[in-house]
Amino acid sequence: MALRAGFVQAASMAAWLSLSACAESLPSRIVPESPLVISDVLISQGTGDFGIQVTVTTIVRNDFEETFDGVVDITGELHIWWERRPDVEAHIPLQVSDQIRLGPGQTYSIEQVWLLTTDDDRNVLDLLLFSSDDVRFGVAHARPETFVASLRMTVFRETGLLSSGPREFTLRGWRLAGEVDQ
Amino acid sequence: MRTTTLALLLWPVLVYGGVSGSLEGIVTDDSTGEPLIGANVVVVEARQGTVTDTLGFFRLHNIRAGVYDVKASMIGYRPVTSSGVLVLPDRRAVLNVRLRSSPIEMQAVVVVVERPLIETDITGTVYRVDAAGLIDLPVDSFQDVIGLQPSTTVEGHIRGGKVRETIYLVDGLPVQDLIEGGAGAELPLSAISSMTIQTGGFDAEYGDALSGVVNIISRSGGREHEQSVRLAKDDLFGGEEVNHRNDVELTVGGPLGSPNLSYFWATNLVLSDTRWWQDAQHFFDSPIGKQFNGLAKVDYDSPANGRLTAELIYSLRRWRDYEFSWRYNLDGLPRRLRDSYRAALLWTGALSSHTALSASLSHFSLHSKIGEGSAADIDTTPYDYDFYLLYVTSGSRSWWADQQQRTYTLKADLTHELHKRHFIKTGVELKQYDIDADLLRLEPQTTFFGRPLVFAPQLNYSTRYHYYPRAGSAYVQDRIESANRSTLSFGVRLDFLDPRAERPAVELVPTTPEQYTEEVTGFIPADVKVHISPRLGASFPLSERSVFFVNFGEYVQFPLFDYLYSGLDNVSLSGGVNVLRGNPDLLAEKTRAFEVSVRHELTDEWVGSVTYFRKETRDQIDAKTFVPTNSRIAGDYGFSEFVNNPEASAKGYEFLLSRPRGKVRGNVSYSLMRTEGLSESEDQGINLAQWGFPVANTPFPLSWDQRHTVKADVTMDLPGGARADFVWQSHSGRPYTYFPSADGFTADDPDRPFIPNNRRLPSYSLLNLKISSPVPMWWGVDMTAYMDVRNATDALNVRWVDSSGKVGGELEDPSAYYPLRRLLLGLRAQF
Repeated sequence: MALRAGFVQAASMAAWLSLSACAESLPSRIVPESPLVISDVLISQGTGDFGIQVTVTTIVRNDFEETFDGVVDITGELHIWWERRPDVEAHIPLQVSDQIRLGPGQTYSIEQVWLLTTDDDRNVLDLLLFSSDDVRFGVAHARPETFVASLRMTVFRETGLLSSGPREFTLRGWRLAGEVDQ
Repeated sequence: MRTTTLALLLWPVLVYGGVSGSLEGIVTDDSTGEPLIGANVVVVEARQGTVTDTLGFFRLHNIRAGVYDVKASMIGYRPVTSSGVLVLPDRRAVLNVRLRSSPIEMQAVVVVVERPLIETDITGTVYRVDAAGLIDLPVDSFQDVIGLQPSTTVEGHIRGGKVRETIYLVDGLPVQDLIEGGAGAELPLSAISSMTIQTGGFDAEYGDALSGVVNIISRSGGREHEQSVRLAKDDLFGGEEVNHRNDVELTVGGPLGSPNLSYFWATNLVLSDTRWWQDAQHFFDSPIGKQFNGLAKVDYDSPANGRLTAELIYSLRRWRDYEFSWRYNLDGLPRRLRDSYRAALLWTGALSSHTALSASLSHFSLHSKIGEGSAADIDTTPYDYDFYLLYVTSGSRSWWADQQQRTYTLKADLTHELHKRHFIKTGVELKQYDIDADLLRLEPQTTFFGRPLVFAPQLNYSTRYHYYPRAGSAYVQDRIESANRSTLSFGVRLDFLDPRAERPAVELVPTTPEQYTEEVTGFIPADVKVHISPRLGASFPLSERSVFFVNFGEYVQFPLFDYLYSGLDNVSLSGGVNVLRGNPDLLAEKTRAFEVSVRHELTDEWVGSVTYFRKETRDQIDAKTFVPTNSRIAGDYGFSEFVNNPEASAKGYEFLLSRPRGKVRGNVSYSLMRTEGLSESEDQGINLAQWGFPVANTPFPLSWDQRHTVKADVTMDLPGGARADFVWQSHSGRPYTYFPSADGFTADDPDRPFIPNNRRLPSYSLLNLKISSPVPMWWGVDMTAYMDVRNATDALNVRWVDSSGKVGGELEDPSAYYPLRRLLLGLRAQF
């Protein structure tokens, strides 16, 4: 009888404790969203004063319902690497100081140029595969290669991290036929 | 049947590798008081016996620590079985038995032996928990028991020391993690026969510890077969403040064919979704954490009064990390694995009636892995935060490790009785290590306030090393007792470590006014480190009811191997800067400790004690920056190396009130303690340099400085065989550094001096309780139901605040609070 009494005591206490337990939970799960978004990244290959260059144009859009306005220091980094040879990579710093006024839905663009130089001072053109079979009008064309660009930047100092995610693009190198080993 | 109560006198000494003790006493005629010659004395469960000599005296060596029935018998006398005889490791128990003459053979008289309230021969502070006590306690592991003792913290800091300053021994042999520190294995609680936590006055036998010695004696199989099963769950009643923990524990033991052979096996499996299951369930399948621990052993009791034991300990764990700032990207944190095994062969035996030998050979292996696959699979691209730099929303932590540590230990201890009250013990221990570590780890730089510097180069902690260091020790411990119960103990210990590594001689050659190149001009072999540490202790009675003891000792602990070897062969990664380098010439950390204590029997049931301790630790390890911060080879933060530099001190009073027996029994303690030092972590120096703060040059209260601590552990026998155990503790707030910043990048007040740990957290209070009750059964199984309630009062205790004084920081991280109330229900069945 006493045995059962002890068991009943313990069971009653368990029930009381569980019923009176505070139902604590983790804070609400709301995946953070950015008020500014990178709406597009345009990558184009062209020719400039120093030869072949890749231009990366990033378009930032204000998805917030209010206007951003002020002088901001945009800092960031464009990371470009050769898809099949990740050791061939370049980090191009971004530093812009500008007055920005962005109403809801308005955009702002930032342009960066890559001159095909890697972090360890190699020229990507020296690494591409040129073929004597593909020479037209005195110009040798390299085999098209896939590169990847990824941009991260902060628009404001304390906040404002934007990240583009990896974007692939094709680089087709060329040189004068005489500069290519036959 | 007549039940008599005899006093059992406990004496110290005869040390058998910290595992066994001895039993001695005199058997006399109850009516005449004359000694009885040739009486049989048998320790029933240990299957060890002897006969009394011409003075009626008997002595049994090498009795494994535990609680025994001791049977004394002689023709013409009624046998007496003394029940509850306690044999402690490293101690000598005394049992005097009186036999009453009886012309006919009669059933044995059962004598319940009461343990003395005060152990008069103790020269240091030791707390002990036996198997029954562990069952009653609301704890999950043996490491939780440490935090219940006076002058300890729930995290395991003992008397102001760092957590890693404690050595963990299982059956006298260490189970240490040599790279990260702390215990390298976990055990099912049912595998433990007894556990001692020594917080002061270690004998010379114990080394490689500055703050505490935790000695676990494992259980052995008995003469009868036994099986028990324990099941427990914490989510039977639902709720959100649960871990979805399922715990299964199995214990079997008994004879193995021969009366001299026995086996024992205890194992448990713990499956849990952790405290963070509400976030983790979005990423992982249940269970998220798995633990499988066990101890298996076979004992052979030699007819030549010795015991041979083969033992295997295994401890396997899989889990995922959780950080609140990663809650939307938890699979970006690496998988974790930690497996350890220890195989040991132990022998204890008597070489003669005055000499005992114990020897052991063991192999301990600990494998820990972070991440999956190989290091080449790890993406070293920095992970991304959200727009407000609060949560990590994509990418993965660049952290991968594969570390394997093996320790081969050969140990022998010899105990010799020079005279009846004069014992000498000596021993030697040799260790061969095999330390193989491969770590890839890139961490983003942060401000002191925790904000990420997303475009600063990542810090590169990667390293790869494989060394075969050797270590060893030898000691002599002399102990003399006098007839008036005084004890004098002195010993000396020698420890050595041969790192077997070479330190690169690095020259930093300036190339331009602000740039350097690193040139390794040669390699210098690291020295063998040798330390000699004395130990002194004495106890003597102040009165019939009071005992005083005092001890002084120097204790050393060699650095974790990571501090010796990491970074010697830096792994180069793009985008990272190498920041920290190991130092094979690090010296051992040393603590000088002094302790005095008075224990007094207040009544026949209550004991009070007051203890004062003082500790000074020097040659602590910290990182020091050696070159200007504009050095190119070391990025922005200089070239840092581990060095012996800071010091720390702790002192305090412990007041303890105990009632060891009765229907309501337990302890209440109050500790007043102060802990100060110049460094509280081994990377403090490099962190301060990184943040531009001056290196501390005046001692400050360390983060675990609990000035006032009250603890109570009370067990109550309830009607119907039920039992309740209450563990309550409360302490004043611990310090933190108040250095506010509004934006997370700069201090609010640039002129404010940086003073570490200049404010205190709120006080802390926690009540855990465990209530168990026999369950009425119908098929002859002993079954007990129990309820284990953690934080029964649902107290909101703060674990940490940020430097602006906000609990949980800007994110209001819930890990800043200790867990709220949890209810674990369990069932234990014994067959």
